[in-house]
Amino acid sequence: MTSVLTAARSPWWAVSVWPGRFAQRHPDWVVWVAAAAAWAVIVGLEAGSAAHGTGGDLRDHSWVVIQAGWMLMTLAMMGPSTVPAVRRVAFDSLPRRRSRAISIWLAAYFAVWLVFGTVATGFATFGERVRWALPGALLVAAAYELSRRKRRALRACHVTVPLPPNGRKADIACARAGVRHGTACVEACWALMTAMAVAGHGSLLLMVLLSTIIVAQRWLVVATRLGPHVAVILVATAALVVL
Amino acid sequence: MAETLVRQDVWKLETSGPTPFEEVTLAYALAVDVMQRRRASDPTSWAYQAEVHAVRGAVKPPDKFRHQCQHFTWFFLPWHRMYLAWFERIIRSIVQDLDVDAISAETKQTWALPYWNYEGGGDTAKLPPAFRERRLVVGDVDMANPLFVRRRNRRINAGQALPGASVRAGLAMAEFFFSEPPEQGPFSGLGGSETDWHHGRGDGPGLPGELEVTPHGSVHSDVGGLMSAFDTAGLDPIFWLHHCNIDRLWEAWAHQRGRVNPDQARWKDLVFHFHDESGEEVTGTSGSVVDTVALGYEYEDITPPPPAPRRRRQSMVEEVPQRSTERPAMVGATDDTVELTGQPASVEFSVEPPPGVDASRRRRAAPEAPAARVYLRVDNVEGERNPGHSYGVFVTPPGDEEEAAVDDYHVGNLSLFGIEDASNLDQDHPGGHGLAYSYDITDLVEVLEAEGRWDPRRIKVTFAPNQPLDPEEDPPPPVRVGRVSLYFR
Repeated sequence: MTSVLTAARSPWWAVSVWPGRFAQRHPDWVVWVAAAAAWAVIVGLEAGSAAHGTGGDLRDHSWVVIQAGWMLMTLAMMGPSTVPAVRRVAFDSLPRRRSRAISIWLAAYFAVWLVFGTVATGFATFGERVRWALPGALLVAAAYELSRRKRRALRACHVTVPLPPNGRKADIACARAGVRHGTACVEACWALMTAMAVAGHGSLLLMVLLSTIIVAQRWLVVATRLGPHVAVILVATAALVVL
Repeated sequence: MAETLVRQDVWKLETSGPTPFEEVTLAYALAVDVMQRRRASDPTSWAYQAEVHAVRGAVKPPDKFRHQCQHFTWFFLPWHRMYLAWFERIIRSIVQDLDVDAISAETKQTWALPYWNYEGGGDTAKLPPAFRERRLVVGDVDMANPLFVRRRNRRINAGQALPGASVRAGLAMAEFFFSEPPEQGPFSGLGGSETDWHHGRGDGPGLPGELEVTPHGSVHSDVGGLMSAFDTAGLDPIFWLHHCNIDRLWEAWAHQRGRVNPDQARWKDLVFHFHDESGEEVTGTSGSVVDTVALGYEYEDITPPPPAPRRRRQSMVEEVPQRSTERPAMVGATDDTVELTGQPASVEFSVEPPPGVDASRRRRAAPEAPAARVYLRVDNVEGERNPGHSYGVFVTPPGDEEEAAVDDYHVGNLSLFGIEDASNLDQDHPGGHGLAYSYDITDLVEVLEAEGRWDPRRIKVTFAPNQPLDPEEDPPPPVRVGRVSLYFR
């Protein structure tokens, strides 16, 4: 019997051409590509709206279009924060199941944000009618940054769950893991994303700022200690909006 | 410090007469008593020094000095070395002021923290006698023994030896690498996962290094009581001798052929904060503590302990493995949670051929490719509290069900030290993942393959408590193992 260790000495990446090897080492590539594409579309739409002076009022759009816009924004802002978890799901799965595991996990994760979006986008239409809506949303987000609930949610974003290796059990576990992670992320970031929804069109700078905060809080291992600093930034941003 | 002090094996300290207290342990006991009488807010007090490790119920560190213990991280060894060094100075400063005839001037000047070498043979796996006596009676000293605490495993306090599998450092000494780069996946080496100041990393929990698991964590759990939890361990006087031995084992490892400590700036330069014997703030970095002589001490014996008893190819003992840049691939795992309740429990799961098996038949193996490694992972280990004992982990070939848990198949331990904090989302310490362990079982797989006893399609893993349950104690709380998995690289 051929030793499984001897057989494994043949570098397994050798079976693949270069893109395959890259994908094997970086299973999160699909997230980066999707997030980059979402940013490109958003920047393009914002540029087009500015040039033509259109798209400013959400009441001009159907509910479906609003939700699609929400998901595009969520993909752009939250996508990069999923990378550590996506990598973990991939490397904790059998190699032949990696694509399936990642796909199920991402679908479940963003489904949670889709559900949240039906509520958050309601605030978007509200924000267009009330001048103080955005500063108020930013102040709420600042206060939430100092809460124990936020810190627990940030830690929950780092939690890994065991995944069965095969079959329906594995699929269900990946879906549950995606829902669990999505729920933790909503709990951590709902205030920031609601502020973004209230900001609506023409808020690219705010989107960049909040995306940076979200990614920093996911990637930095001392993120739970950033709360006071982020709160100050949000309060300052609210003040700038008022001025 | 002008003179290099020598840390001695507590079991080799000579005593005469009926008392187990010779000068070094007597001095230690009296100094502990002095520290215990100091106000808890005093940085040189017993309570404060215990809180430097962890603060009970703390959600976050109250300051930059306390609740700082580094576990499941490559900072585990250097941080504890600093912690010990400053504690030793506090003790020595007290010792030098003791007015006790039974302690000579020489001992006062040269006092150094002794270590507990539980692999020294004979009775050395037992708690040293000076820690089991309830009274300290030496000369004109007659008092409750500060080195004795009730809150330990009843049988260990009564003189039973720690289990052999708990104290064995051979697996740690066999590790060639201190840590693994994060891009290779969360595998740990001697010293633990590469992390920042934290116990977790972005894509999963930091892993304890082999030395942190065994004998460090397993001795914590098997001594039990105060020693079994982060926030009380420092209150047991044996804690310091135990960690002194762990520090000595790091030194022994570093003196073996081919072993090097990390040289990355992010390991060497991270600053930690302590207090000296005067209560003044001091700082240290990992890079500043790799040389114990520069810190003012050395060990009387850094002979590596005997190798692990399980069989391995002799050549594997000698060869220096190449460092692979490939991330291990998962090839099999359990479906369900395993519950450990103080009895042996086994799981089996199927294994798929590692990626590249087909490739080896079509392409010539790259001669420069590093030899394959096989890792067993145990993840998402959770429980409400430490059960008061560690578990051995055994990879058992088929046909050996009768002797599933024998030394030949022992791959490591579930030490379970830190389990109550591991699932606590109110702490960064370590923050909700549960515990995780990784074992390099390559040598065992090669031996079993050579004997024709390795089934490449299926693996059986057995967990067995390293010491039997105490019939006089309540049943231990259950421990849940989320997943057992096999990886090839």
